[in-house]
Amino acid sequence: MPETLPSIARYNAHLRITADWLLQSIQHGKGGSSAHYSHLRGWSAPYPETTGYIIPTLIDASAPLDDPSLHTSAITLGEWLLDLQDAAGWWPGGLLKPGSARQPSVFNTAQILDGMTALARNTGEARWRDAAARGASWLARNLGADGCWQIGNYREGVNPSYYAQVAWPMLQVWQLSGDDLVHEAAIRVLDRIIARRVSNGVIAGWGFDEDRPAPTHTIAYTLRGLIESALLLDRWDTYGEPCMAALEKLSRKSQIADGRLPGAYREDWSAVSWYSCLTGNVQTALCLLRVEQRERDLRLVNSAARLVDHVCSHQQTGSRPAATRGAVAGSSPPWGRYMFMRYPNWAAKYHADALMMLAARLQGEADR
Amino acid sequence: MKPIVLTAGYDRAPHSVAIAEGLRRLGTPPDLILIAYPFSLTRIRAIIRSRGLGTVLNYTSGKGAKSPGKDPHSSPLREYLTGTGLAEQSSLKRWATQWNVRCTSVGDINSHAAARIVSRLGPCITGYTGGGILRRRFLDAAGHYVLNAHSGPLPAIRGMNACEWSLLLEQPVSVTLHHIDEGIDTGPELERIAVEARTGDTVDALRERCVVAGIDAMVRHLHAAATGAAATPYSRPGPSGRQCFVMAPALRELLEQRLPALITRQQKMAQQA
Repeated sequence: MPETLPSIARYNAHLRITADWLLQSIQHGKGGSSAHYSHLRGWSAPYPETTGYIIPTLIDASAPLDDPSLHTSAITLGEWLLDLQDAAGWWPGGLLKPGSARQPSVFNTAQILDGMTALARNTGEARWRDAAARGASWLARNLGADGCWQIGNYREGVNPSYYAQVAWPMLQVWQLSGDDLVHEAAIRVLDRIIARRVSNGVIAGWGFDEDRPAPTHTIAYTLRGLIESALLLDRWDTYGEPCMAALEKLSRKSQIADGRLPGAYREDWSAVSWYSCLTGNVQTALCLLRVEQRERDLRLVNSAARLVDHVCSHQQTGSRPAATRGAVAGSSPPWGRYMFMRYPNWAAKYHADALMMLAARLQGEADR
Repeated sequence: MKPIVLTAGYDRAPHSVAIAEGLRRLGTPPDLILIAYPFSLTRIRAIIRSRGLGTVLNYTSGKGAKSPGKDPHSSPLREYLTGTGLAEQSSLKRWATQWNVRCTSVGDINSHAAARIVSRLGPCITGYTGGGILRRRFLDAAGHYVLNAHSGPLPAIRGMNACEWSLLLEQPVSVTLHHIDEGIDTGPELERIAVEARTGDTVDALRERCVVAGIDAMVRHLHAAATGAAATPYSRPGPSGRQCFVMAPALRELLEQRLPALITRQQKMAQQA
């Protein structure tokens, strides 16, 4: 497709190096994708959770980059994850280090469902759909009537609001399997989370720790999970509209700061500004672009473009050091609190997703 | 007659000079010009954060964003300044010295110092021609009678780059003369002036045509208010549009690419109106 705007070519160039870096993380991932790279400690162990949600990114990037190797890698990652799935349906939490005990994880299982459903839709093969159905069924069976899990939480007994990003993959599985138990469970999760919305637009408990400021990474997880669920269920007023105050606030804050969001927010919206969480930046851009698909307003695209541009400006595009060419740091500056001095694979994943969605939207507008 | 205050964002602000001169020619020159000096650390930091370093570099190299084009045939602002004899007069300070008008620089338009200077004048009429977003302290000091010429139709197109956003969002390119309140372009209106989009116009030319329309409207309304003939403000029904911000490079490219079609669209809207 001809690129009619210079910025689309620029975004595609960033997409290329981001995808190349993800491929590097897979080469060093011992079957999966290495969670992160650091100049001090090199490539980390593979991370099943993020390996799972990198799969749809690789599938989606294969066409615009005209690179079948990305699709092949997606399938290889999927097969690695199939081998890791427990007979009960769950996938393990944390990095997969040799000799470490494997424990079930609610959040990580759900993110892997994202990969499994992408492969199922893309290939039509039953093995992906069946694995996804087993995973979602495990999540649904273990969910309490109050919409909380008692096992498999990152912090014992804590069900954060970013579990909206668990409900969304469950609903994706329900779309494929038609399992009503999974649908009902996802709704219970969403209802519990949306009830935590407070008058200033914040959804309480959207960080890793309720006593600390929430990184924009988990804020955007929360908003994206709710927005995608609202779109998928066609229940915008229930789950989508309540997110708009927070999303508009993030959009305004970033635009008056040339596309940069603070690293974290407290629940009164006071910001931790000395660093920026780059993955939160692009995840917020994705939320804006998804909302924009519903209400068509180029001002939202503008906001997303500035958020993405900010991350592009912090992405290393030079050839050396090769291990960080195309990588996206956790924080800017890299010694910020979020993923201190590391380049996580999920930052690259969300950057690639945002680049693709933004370029496609701009191309559509340019072709109009 | 009530005193008139003009705010400005820069000394070299040709539209501000034109408003001051327009008022003088009507016999109601401004009593005070308040320049929010661009070289305070606070202001430079705010500009870099919101518009990028390039804006500051452009200003310091003489390529300020609001400088009119060189060619009077393609620059409506240059044409206006030439026609009014102001082509060589771009410094507010020099203009103020020439006509014995008080001109003061402040680091921050919302500072206590700026508020004190304005409140000493007593009940006054203020014309906003730049200086940053006005906060409550300044508005209180100015008696909440502060007018702004906004280069877009309100309430649909609020915020920055309003002419560009009007084009891209297919809203009529226009200038809205309105009162400033504590929101962003949310105060009651006094007048909306349609701005003609001509075949072959560049974005810069259209923006400058808005500036010229804004100069004319600001002079008329400030003069009327100072002489006791202020227009009655009104609030247009309908929800406020989402606030506009500085256009990202990608959206600016899109605007430039679609400009001929967007101008045709403007011309059709004008015919229908």
